[in-house]
Amino acid sequence: MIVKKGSFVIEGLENVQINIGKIGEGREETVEGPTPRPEIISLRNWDYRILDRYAPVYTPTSDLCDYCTYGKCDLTGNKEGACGIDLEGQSARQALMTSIMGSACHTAHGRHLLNYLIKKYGEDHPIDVGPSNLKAPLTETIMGIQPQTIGDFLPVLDYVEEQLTQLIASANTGQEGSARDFESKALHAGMLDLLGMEVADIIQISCLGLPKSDEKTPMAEIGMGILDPKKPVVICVGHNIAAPAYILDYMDRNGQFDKIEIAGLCCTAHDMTRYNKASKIIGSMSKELKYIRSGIPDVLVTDEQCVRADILKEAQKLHIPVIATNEKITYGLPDRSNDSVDAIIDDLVSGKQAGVLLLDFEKVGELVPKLALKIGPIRKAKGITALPDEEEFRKLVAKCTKCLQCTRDCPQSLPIADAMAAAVGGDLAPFEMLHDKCVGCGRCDYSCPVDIPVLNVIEKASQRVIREEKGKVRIGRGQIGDPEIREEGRNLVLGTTPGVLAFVGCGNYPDGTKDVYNVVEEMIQRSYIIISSGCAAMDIGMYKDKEGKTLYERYPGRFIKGNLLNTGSCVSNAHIAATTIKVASIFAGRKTKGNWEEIADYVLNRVGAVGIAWGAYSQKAFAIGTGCNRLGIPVVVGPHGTKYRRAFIGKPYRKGDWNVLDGRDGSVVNVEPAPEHLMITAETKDELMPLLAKLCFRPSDNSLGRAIKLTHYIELSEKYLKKMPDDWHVYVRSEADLPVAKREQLLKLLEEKGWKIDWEKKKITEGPLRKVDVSFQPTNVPRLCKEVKK
Amino acid sequence: MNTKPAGKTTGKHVEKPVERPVEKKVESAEKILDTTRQAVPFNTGNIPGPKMARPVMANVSGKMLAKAKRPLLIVGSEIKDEKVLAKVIAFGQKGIQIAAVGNAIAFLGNKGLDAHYANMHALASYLCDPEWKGLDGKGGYDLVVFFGITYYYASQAISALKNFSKIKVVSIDKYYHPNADMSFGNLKNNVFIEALDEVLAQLPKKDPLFKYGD
Repeated sequence: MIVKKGSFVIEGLENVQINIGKIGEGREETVEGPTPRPEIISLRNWDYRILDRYAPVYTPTSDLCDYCTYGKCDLTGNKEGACGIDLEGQSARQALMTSIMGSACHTAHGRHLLNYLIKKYGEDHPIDVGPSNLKAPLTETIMGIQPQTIGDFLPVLDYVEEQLTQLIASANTGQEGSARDFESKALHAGMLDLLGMEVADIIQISCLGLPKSDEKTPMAEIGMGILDPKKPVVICVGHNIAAPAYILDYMDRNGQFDKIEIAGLCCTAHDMTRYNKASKIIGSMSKELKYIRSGIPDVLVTDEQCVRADILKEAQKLHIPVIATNEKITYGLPDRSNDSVDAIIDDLVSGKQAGVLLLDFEKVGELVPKLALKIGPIRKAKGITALPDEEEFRKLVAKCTKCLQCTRDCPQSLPIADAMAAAVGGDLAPFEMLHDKCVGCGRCDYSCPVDIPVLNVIEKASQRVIREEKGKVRIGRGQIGDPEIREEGRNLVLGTTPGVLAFVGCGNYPDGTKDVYNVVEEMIQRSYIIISSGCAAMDIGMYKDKEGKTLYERYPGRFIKGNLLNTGSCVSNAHIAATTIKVASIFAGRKTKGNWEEIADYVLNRVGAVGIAWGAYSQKAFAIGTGCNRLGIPVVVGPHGTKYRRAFIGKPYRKGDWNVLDGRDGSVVNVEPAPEHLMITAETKDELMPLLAKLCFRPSDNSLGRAIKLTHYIELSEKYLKKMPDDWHVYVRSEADLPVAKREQLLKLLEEKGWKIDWEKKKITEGPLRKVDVSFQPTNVPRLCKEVKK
Repeated sequence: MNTKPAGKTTGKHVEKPVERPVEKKVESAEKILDTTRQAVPFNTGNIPGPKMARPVMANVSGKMLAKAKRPLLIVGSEIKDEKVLAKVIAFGQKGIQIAAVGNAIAFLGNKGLDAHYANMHALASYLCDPEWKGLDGKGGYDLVVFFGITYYYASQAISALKNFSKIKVVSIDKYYHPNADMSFGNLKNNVFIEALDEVLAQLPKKDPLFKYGD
């Protein structure tokens, strides 16, 4: 008998109705760990273990609380407010809310895609992410299930949404009051974020034909200078591929790629190139206002996330119609989803309407290219741009009074007045420098007391460098396949590959995009595995070497040392975190299903992976980082990251914080601080370099691996900070841990520190914190020890 | 076509340009540099709450530093300017222990100073811990002074000290730092250098036997 969904009544039984919901297909799920579908306190003990070692450090941006009508309350000096919450608690509550916002954003993105893709392809559409048995590592580890079809993700998102509601409730005044438990909940929200992202990316990979663990994806063009401005230009802004896919399909069917330029801004751009390699990338969110003001776009298509709140106002000024395609961003635009495409185009071309909300993707696909072909020539004939002409530019720079108000409002405190002065004398070089460092926020425009449109002036002065801004990005590959993990997992856990460095996040860099390129270039040459995603992945491809090659063209994209991988858009971050789960599962045979704590414990103690969000600005980036933290992955953010108001910083001088258990017998072992921090900032690129090397140390490193890691830590410190690190010796367990080339010199230095050296055998006889033990099974979870010693 | 940004009003909140602090003459006819003018957060939006730093004269901050039992000078990535670096070295030569955050340590090597690399964020965390024994393991600090750190970074980091520690924090930076207990106002470069000289002038000459905290 075929059982179908629905309900039926069994004759003879009164008042009995049997409802058939989701039909199982005989698949038996074996939950392997203790916490499938963890509730908001199910992993609290693990969180406490993290928080005990990596105590939250609060750096409030505001000493007030104004969440409820008791307030505003002054919490300065950690005073309590009217409801009883102190500044520590309020700061932790803000960390929770930030994490929830980010998590909700990715999950809602996933929900939007899932509903749309199920409608189009059906619940039974199979998951296909490439050559992997572990297809959805985060889903397995958190939910305890192994999804086979996209419909299997329905209960996953139901779970995430339910949990997020519980978490939001806890932030209401009169609910949670403990900073420590707010942080546990923030970690929970971060974990949910990873799950929401995984769902979003797996379903779009499976349904839309995006690359599936493909290490050799083609290159996409990137930069503000790549488009031919003489053609009609369509720019899609945001993160959700659903609507842009229809535009690309329509253009493909009608052979329009040589007639219309189409590109994306922010992560939509990644997914557009993953969907159709004819698409191009303008750049990160930092380029959004700059590119709109250039007047080059003829049509702007928005979806969701990282879309400027003023995009309609800016576009309207330049007669660029805006097509909003997602319910989350509607700008007060009229919903024209039920109108004919031609009628909408007429209203947009005539200027009767500045933009429309259009939720029918078929219509979006047809309308946007048609609109671009119609309005493009009109706009180009008028030469519409916000940028001043030469004469206006000269007058504007001469108006500057050097009051420095723009510098004081600038997130980067850029020396704009100096550039204005240089431009008066005809020197545009300082402005060209500013163009790269400017994050394109436009705050300077508001601040100028003599009405100089500062951003426009910067962009006008930088036209030469903008025209040359042409790079290459390897199109997002999706997951890391199981075969790659099998090949590389051992090297990672033993430390012979010095580490995995994941460059993720946004473009709010402290000193321009070039820093990211420079850091990646240095670390890739040192044989670290570099994985990237999102805006960071874009910026890595913006610069070229002397031979005109970008890093993506110079280094291959396999998950092995010295390679450079781009997983894709913001939601592809999930695959980076999931890689560590794959290492635990495939290399070490750890069970995954419903087994978060054990997996995270393994990652914390054995997998030398570090996340770097050098230009993180959004709540999403914070949630991703917090999720990684719960999985045992340390994260470094740029100096702006202090404005996230919370970090997880270890105290190496508190020896007791660094006790771990030996899984073989439960004995307590005092280990080196590895990793020393879970979330921390650095002030400059030079400081970041050795910090990254240091955060790759793990207690499980074998001697060869430790020596390799130590080599990089010492060399990077000497190169960028001009000195040996103060704590290098802490990571030495025996002479075998010392880099061979420097062994003698380092032994002498150890002797000066009071260590005992047997110079005949060139052995350390006294000094290290502990000895190397190749069988050591470091763990922070007592239940994972075979025998627990008291 | 030159357009102002959409929907943006103009000249609504014109603030006076940063003024050069003036020298005040006091009764003793001794010239004292006034570093208390323009005591408004350098980044316009950096207003933390009702408690903001008291503006402080350079000579007063110098006297506080001289009286401290165990002071710490924190400097950051913005000390590479030759004149500023010279002042950092001068402070070090007076026996003040230096925490070099960011990449500042790269400019301070081999100069015989008691200078230590530190991560600013971690340092803020340690300074809030009464059990921390300092960069040299010899004990905590009773006064922190700082300059030459990326403005917003320093401001955020010291907000931890302001709210979660008892340590006095005095900014002798060229910018007004609201999260310090006391701070110079926003200063022009040349006045900033003069102000640092005035702070230095209050410090005792380094006696080989003298150590802060003795």
